[in-house]
Formats: sequence, structure tokens, C-alpha cells
Amino acid sequence: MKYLPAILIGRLARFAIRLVRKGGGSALPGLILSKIAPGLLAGTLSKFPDGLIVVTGSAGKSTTTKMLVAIARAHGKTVFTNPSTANILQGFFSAIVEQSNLFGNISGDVAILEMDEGHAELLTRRIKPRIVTVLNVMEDQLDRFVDPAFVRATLGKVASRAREAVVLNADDQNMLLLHRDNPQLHGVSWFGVTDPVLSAQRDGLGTAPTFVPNLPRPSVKSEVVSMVGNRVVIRSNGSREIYIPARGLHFAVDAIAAFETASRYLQSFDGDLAAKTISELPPVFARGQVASVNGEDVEFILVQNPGSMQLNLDNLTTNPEQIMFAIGRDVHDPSWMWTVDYSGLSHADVVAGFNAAEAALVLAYNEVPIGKVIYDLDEAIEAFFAMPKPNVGVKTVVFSADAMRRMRRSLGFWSPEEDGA
Amino acid sequence: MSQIIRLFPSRLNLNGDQANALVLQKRAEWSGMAIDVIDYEEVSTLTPLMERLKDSDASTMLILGHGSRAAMASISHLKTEIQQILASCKQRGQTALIVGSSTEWLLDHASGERVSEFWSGSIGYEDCDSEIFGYLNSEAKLDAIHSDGSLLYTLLHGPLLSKSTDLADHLILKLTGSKVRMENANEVAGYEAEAIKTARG
Repeated sequence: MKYLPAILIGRLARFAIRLVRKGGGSALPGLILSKIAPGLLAGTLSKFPDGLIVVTGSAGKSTTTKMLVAIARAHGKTVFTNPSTANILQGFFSAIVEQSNLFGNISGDVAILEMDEGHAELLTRRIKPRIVTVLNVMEDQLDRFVDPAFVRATLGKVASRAREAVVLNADDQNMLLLHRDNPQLHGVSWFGVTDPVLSAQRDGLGTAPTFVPNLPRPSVKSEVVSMVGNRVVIRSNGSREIYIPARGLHFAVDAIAAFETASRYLQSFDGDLAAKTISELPPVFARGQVASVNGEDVEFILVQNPGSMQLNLDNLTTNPEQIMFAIGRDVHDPSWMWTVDYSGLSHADVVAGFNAAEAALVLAYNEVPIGKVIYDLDEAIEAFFAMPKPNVGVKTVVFSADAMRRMRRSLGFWSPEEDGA
Repeated sequence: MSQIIRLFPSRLNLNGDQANALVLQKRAEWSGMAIDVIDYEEVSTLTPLMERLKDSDASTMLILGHGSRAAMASISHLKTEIQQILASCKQRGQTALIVGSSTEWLLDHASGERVSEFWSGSIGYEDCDSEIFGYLNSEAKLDAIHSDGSLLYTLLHGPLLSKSTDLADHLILKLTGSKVRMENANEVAGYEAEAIKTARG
């Protein structure tokens, strides 16, 4: 009963926002709820019989979480999870507004949440996760986190609060340092990528360099052993073939992280079922997803930091004929855009978003030809999608998270998984 | 030949600081001039760099960028030699642009509360007064940008010259002896002005 008024207020706020903006209203109700009922989140999450599983790190959280959730569900588990990118405290509160009963309770076996690094540290002070999976440390959001070493230390605190298991990436030296610096970690297992697969990547996994001699690679329990296009062979208690939802080694790493985490969580873990489940998953929105707009296929690619921008530009397999490049408000300090090698980007037909001018400036200095710079995103979307269908391939949109959200709303994409319903 | 020597660019580029060289190189190129950008990555010794600089003049410039804590630790043993190199640059009147954590590393300073925000101001450098715009993310109690003879110390990380183009063009004039006259000046200046406007909100 304690949380009944707060939940009602949150739902009313959501209802009011959705009256005026279809597909909107996922953030503000959570913010309100976090202010008026701060204890609700820990209270709700502590009630799942199988506990809480946290997926965190700089990049790959959304895809890994979606894969892990799907595997758990395929094993008959009822899962509470958060929408993609709603991975900060107010996003968790929003998910509760969406999915709880009026008393703040959610029925289900387990909570599997992707968590922003900083917010994971805050939340796990109050509720100890059963399993923590840490994907990587990249040079990401440095205006907020300042230095990758601070991120690593923060993730070390999160991992040390795991009650049962910690799952780490053996091919990120930051994870090896995290493990070395937190000897109290228990139940640690490792996932990774074999050297030949990793060596074939121009920029590796894009993790933050540590500038110290490499620590020896630990024994890896689940591993990517080969990758051709979307077809990936993994080894984890035997070899299996899986198909990842979009091209790129980072998606294969997400898959193997999910696979290893699921094997630690599920007592009756069935590797074949997990492999089948991953292979049948659609891409998470904008992680290499091809969606239809006005009857035309369009590829959407989300970039959130130098690492993900570089990996995605490196993985543009062919030179797309039509490209839109949109950088929104989420990029507070755009300096990092100047660390990226743009030689994989042949041109940009439309540069748009709140940070369009900065994006245009960096592309201009990198001699990437620009068609138009359109500061109004809606106008830019209209201009880009009014272009005739490309002769070869599909229209490609490279955007930051804020530009993605606005574009999705503008194009009328609304997904229950994304929006938390 | 005009040249910019970037010290340890693979280590000291956390926020795109090395793109300051790109900005100078491209602005010169668009004006029909050439500037070589040379990367010095050897962390075991600076002797070859010292040799290279021995007979150089104002047509050579140095950039020391901003690195992570791990990167700065990896070059910490070179501090004395770098200070000697910078002292020689100052003596010869050569520009050295020292950015972010490199400035904090080389200059004694007190620390206060961290500031993370866009910064604008001005600097008088040699005979040029320039408006400066960049991003400040530091705890160091130092001026956001100041000069010590021909040495330019700044806490503004990233490609500050992309939005501080009076200073950029002065540096190109110093490096090449020629003024910047870019064919695409309006286009680039337009992006620059809009980017500053956006950042200022």
C-alpha cells in the first residue's frame, strides 16, 4: 500500500504525456517516481525469487541484455527487464511504472537489467545482484566519467557486490586489471574471442588502452572461435553455430557474454536452446537493424562513443550510397568525435541533429563530402527520406542516442520492448 | 618545410587533442600550403626527437595532447626530457601546444573542484589576439589557456583550434610564412560559428 499513491501519480503522468505525444512518456514518470518514492526500486527488485542480474560496461549492454532475457525466457523464466537505453535510475523507475501492479510489485522469476556504469554503482549499494556481467571499458562519456580508470574502478565496485557470479570479458585488459584489483571477487568466469578472430579486426574491440604490459589471458569458458558475416561459431561446453542479429564482432561478443551469463544463471541451461534463441532474435533497434520506412529498407546504426563509432564505421561493409549522420543532444562534449577515423565514411548526404554543426565541422576537416547540413531534425528526416531509393544497397542512418529517439518518434516506430510496455 | 610534431599521438589523444594538427594542416592545405604532420611515438627515448629539433626554427611546432591517467603514467619517466625540449622550443621561439593533462602534468598547480563545461575567452599570443572556445574538464587551478613565451599551455582538451581559428591561422602564418586564404572559408566558418552557438546553448 505504501507505494500506491506514487504509482498512481506515475501512471497519470505517463497517461497525460502519451495523450500529447504518441510513443513518448517513458522518462518523466520515472523521474517523478524516483523523487517521491526513492525506496520503491530496491524494494521491487529485491522481491524476485531468482534475484537481480546486472549487465554493465561501456558498450553492448542493450544487445547483451536482450539476448540474455530471450535465453532466460526460452528456458521458461519470467523476466522483468528495462527498455533499451533506459539504463539509468529514472529508467528503472519508468519500467516499474509500466510493469508493476499498483503496489509496486512485479510478478516474475528474475530481474535482468542493463545498467549505466555510474547508476549501477548507485543501485547496487542498496541491492546486491546475484550476477554481474561486465562487458568492457571504453573511452566513453569522459565529460562525465573523466577517465577510463575511474570507470574501471566503479565497475570493480559493482562486480564486487555480486552474490554469486561475475562474468568478465577476457579480451579487455581493463577487465583483467579489474579482476586483479578486486581479489574479493568470487565466482568469476570469462568470455572472449579467439586471437585469429580478434586479429582480423582493424581496431580490435575498441576498449580503452591500459598502457601497461598485458596481463596473461585467463582461461576462457565461452568463446567466439570464428565469424563469417552473421554466422558465428562459439565454443562453450562444445561447439555451436549461431547467427547474430547484425554484422560486427561486437555483436558476437555480446552474444557470447549473454551465453556465458545465461549458463551461470540457469541451472537447467541448454546450450542448443540458447544458441537457437540467439539466432532467432531480431536486432535491437538501431544496432545494425534494417527497418522499413515508406516501404523502403533503411539501416539504422547507433553510435555512442569513439569505440562504437569506429567499430560501426569499420563495419560498413559496402559504401552506402545514401547516408544520414545525426548527432543529438546526448553528445554533451563533442570532442570525442575528433578521435574517430572517418576514412570508412565515403560521404554524408545529410548531417543533422542538435550537434549537426560540430558533426559537419569534423567531417569537413576529415574531407568527408557533405550534401546538406540541416539543423532541424524533422526537416532533415523529411529531406533524407524524400531522396529516391538508392541504386545499390539501402539508405543508412548513423545516429547518436538522442537523434535515434527523436527519429524513431518522428518516423512512428514504436516498439513495446523499446518503450517498456 | 613546415612541420608539426605530435608527441605520442596514440597515447595523448583522449579527447581528439591531436586533431589540432589536422585543423592546422587542412586549413593550410585549403590555402595552397603544405604542413607535414610527423608522429613521434617512441617512449623509450627522446634522443631522436631532440636531434630532429636541434636545427629547427619557427616552422616547426610541437603538440603534446591530453591522455588518460594510464597514458600519462606511461610517459612519466620522460618528464625531465620533455621539460628540456620545451625550454629549447621557447628559446628558439617555436610554438608548442600543451593540452589538458599534459599541462596539468608539467605545471605546478593546486587542485579544486572539477569543472566540466564549455569555456570561452581570449588570449594574446605573440602579436595576435584570439578568441578561444573549447571544453574545460579539470580540477587544476590554472588558467584555461596561457602562454609562456612561444609555449601555449591550455586545459581545454580536444580540438580547440577548430573553434579558435584566429589562433589557428596565426600558427599557420608562423609555420609557413603565409596567410590562410581558404576557398571554403565561408563553409567552414559557418559550421564553426554554429557549433559554438550550439555549445553555448
